[in-house]
Amino acid sequence: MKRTIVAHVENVPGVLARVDGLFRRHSLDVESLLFEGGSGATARLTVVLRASADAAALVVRQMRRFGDVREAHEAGSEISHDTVARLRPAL
Amino acid sequence: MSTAIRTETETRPRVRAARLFADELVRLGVTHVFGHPGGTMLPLYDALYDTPAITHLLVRHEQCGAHAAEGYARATGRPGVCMATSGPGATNLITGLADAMMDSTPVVAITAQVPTHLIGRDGFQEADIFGLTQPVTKHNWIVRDPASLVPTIRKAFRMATTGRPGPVLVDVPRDYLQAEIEVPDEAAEPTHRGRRAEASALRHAALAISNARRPVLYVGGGVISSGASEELKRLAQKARIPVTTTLMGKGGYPETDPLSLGMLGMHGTAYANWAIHESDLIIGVGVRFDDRVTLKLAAWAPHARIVHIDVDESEIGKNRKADYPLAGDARTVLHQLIPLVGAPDTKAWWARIEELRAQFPLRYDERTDAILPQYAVERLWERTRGLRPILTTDVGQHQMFAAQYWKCDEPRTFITSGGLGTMGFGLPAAMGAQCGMPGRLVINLNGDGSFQQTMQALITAVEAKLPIKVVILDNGSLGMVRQWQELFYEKRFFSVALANPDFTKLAEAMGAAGFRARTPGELDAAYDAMLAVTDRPAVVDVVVDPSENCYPMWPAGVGIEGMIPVCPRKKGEGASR
Repeated sequence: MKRTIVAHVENVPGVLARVDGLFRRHSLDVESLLFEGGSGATARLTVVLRASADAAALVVRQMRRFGDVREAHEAGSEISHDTVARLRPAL
Repeated sequence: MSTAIRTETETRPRVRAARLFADELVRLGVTHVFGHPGGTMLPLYDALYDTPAITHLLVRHEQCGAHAAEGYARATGRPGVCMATSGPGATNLITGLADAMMDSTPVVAITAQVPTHLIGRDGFQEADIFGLTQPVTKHNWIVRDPASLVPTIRKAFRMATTGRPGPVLVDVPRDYLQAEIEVPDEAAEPTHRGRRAEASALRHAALAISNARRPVLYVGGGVISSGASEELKRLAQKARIPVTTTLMGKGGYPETDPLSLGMLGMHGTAYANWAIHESDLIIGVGVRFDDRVTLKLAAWAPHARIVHIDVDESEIGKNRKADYPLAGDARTVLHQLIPLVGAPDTKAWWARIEELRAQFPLRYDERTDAILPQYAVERLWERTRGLRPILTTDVGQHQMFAAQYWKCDEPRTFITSGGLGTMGFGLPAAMGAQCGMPGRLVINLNGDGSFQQTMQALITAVEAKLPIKVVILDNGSLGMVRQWQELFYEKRFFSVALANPDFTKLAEAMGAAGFRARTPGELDAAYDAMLAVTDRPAVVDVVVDPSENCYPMWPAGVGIEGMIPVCPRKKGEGASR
């Protein structure tokens, strides 16, 4: 099933490869990937991929472990207060 | 340094970056570095020449350096540091980093990179180590300007040690090490507090524990890395809950305590596995429900609800759904939990557990003609238990015999490669542990196959006059692989027999002491001779029965009824211990 994952990441070289490494490891097909960083310190990453609900949820949670990923969630899923609090200083 | 506030126009003194780097390592508490120099690394090695606070151990292969850093970290709780030069030096670290990643071990790897003008141009000894190590590190960096060198190394140490610990790598181009940069501000160490669990989730979990009839505590490496052993003891003893540990959790709860069921899983005790199978509530602390524990996940602990405490939120529900998820630091969460938990009625449960213990004891045959590996491990334990030894193991049958027969009562004293199962881990890890704990007796239990993967670490240990003890259970084969070929591949033994060197002569050639035991009668004398050596490493080659297999064995992919509790061909034969 198609799922959309949105992440706020540090706009640094290697961050795309790090995130993509997760898709590779879980063998997920990426349908589209949009990286909006410009010259800012952070970037917004929007990925559409084909994955089961479980796989998408696990990938999102593993993505959050990365040092250069500030926040990640599946589009349409609720963002918790905890997440908002973590996200705020970054934005 | 002056305490006056600097003005914008004031220029700071400029110092060579490598010098500041070395000073920063000292400030971060680094006492030992396990490394190997090379061209691009020379500026930093030149700075280490003038850094007496740091002892550098010259490894003979960078993999040894990474494992030594792991051993240092696992024994002390402080991050271990390894260093390698660009290209092949750096790629040789990868196995050790992957090992540290799987076992959540705080390791800081520092690699030099070719000068910036050569990066991406296939410079001599260039490898994309930043890219190569992304999947096997918690985080990694390639330093992008000289001024960020010191802040990056500070970040690296913080990240290696906070939350779920893990390995990090900092790659530094050579020209940045040689650059003259401004002296950076001294960093105020941010205090780190363990993450707390949510109050309502805690109350629900506490109620479930208080009302459980057949609870089991299933504890792993997270208990050790968060320093939660005391809290765990208080919870287990207050609620009288049996405790089973994973391989990584050994030492997190005293195994000589009556509440301990020993290790669970593939080669764990049959009674621990049956207790899990019959349990109605499993309290997982710092564990990840991995396949060597659950074997057949869908059929594992079919009657149990799950409390899962882990600092890494992505672990909760990854393998087994948690009914009571408690994301947080193990020590902090247990501390929160204890006052909320009442004593469940576990009287009938304990009667059942004693029944299981009596039905499936760990056992092996008593032999006078040949040394059985279990006997060698048990004798070593009995002979040294009063000396508070730290044991490192390698990977294979000897490791599982150690898991079964080496009763571990103290955290950070059982150091093994758990998740990655890296042959070659044990000897360099012992070297690192001994550096971090100079007063302690450090023993490496090894196999003849795994010893040969990193045996050159012995030379470094001799050089550093480290009195580590190495006990090789020598069965002339890759025992665990042979066991699998025997059980699952119709005894078609292939590529498992080892024509070994003479390990005593080898040890002596490297400058260590070498001893051998061939019969049970010779074993104690060989151990005593080994323990008497205090100025250099000592190696004992223990020649063991090559046909002995490791039981219990619960093969992967089958339910608990497929577990083989004792050696089938030896049932009822002879006396047993």
